[in-house]
Amino acid sequence: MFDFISVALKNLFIRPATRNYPKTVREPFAGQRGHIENRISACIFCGICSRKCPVSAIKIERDKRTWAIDRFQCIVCGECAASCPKKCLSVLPAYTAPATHKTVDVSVYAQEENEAENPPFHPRTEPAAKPVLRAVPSIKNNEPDIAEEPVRQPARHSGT
Amino acid sequence: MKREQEHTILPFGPQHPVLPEPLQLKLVLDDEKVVEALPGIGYVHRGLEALVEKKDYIQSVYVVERICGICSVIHAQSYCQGIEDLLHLEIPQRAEYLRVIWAELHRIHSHLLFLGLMADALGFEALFMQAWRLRESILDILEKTTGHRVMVSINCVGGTRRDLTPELIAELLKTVEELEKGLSPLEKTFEKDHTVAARLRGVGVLAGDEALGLGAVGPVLRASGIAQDMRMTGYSAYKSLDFEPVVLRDGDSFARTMLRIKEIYQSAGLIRRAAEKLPEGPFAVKVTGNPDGETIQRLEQPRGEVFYYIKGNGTKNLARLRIRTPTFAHIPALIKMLPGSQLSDVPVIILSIDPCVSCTER
Repeated sequence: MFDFISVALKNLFIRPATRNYPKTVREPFAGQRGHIENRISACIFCGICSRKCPVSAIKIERDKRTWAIDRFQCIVCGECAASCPKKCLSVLPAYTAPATHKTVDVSVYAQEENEAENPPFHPRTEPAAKPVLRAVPSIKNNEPDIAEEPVRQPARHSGT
Repeated sequence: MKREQEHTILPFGPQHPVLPEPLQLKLVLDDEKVVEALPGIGYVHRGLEALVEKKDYIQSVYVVERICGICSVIHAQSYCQGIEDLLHLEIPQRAEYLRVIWAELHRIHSHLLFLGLMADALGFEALFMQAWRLRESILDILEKTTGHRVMVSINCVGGTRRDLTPELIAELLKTVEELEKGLSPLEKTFEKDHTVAARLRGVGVLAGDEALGLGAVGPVLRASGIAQDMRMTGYSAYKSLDFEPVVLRDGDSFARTMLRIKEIYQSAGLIRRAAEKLPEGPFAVKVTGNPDGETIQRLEQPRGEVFYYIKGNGTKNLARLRIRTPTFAHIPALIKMLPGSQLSDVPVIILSIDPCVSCTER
């Protein structure tokens, strides 16, 4: 009968087991899986993360260059981050903050931001020489056609 | 003229403060004594077995894990073991030991949850809070080692997704040791307290041969004197961990509660032995191919034996996944235990089988 009384008396004098959330928030542990972030400047919109996601939380629009994640659908399993070929997805420890409405986080690929990191490919400065198209000689002569520039020729049948 | 006895039918559930999940039992009462109990299930059915057929077999690990919050990692382990069997994949020994460590941690936190709920059913809320306070230390160590508290997503086909560094192992062992120290006054309270004994002893007696005949599994069977535990078959790393099942004879709610307390100590010992014997090496292998064929896996969840039947047809989607969970096996035993008991003992009896209705009705 007195076993629990000793526990109860001890609890009167030690500090409480609970913390005053949300005033005090615990620091996240190091390996905690809290939410997913995408470094959009490196993203190539291949769609692998979207296909691997078990709950279809990621939606990608390749032509509009947007990567959207529904944070309340996401189960933070880390499959997307593990399968990303460019390693632009990462799992960070902080939890998604509670909210009153579910919103979808959309990241849009911005050209100007990206150019500093990955400069676009510049073609050679002088334009390539245009191929000159010559008329194809008549079939009757059966002479081979010698072009100065490569030309596309229709298929020819020898003989009539 | 004799007046015909009229029975009252009282609906117990689906919403009831003592039940962790919705379960309906229509109790046919003769004054305060239960005459018959008619079960009604299906309130948490989510169709997860059908969902697994739509996702590919790697994504299905996440679906299967979410069948139940408390036995979560063992569901994932059963599924992964089944798929590895179908793919003829042998996983590294280190992964087997790591899976055992996480499974036993889940067993500890599940039994602590049960102890809290049982104390709450008796009205002993302070004991409930102490048990759950101990459970928090396990959830914290789970979060430090796997990343999440409840649905840990640590098992994957081919092994585990993360490794345990020596620092984490040391922290884990320290947590387990502190847990054993903290559990000792609670064990004494459950064992010796007069009120607890009055509410639990002799309540919901299930004899050994009855339990076996009705298909009870796990702690319900072991508390009735039958030594049956799936870990005795030596799956995963249990064959090298000297496992002996805990058995008690009385078959009442008190025996079932004390058995689970003893199992917490047993799991702590298993974690220590597994951490000592943890072999070096990789913790996962690469997975290729699609599962084809049928397999049966039987593992020991905290509530009893879980039975997995997986059928693959050579594509990345499975043909069929069928799960028989322990609480489903306990419903006939529950229907047998309830008649003859008082109405106020009904919550205690239902909780003593440790019902996990989410598992029952995936």
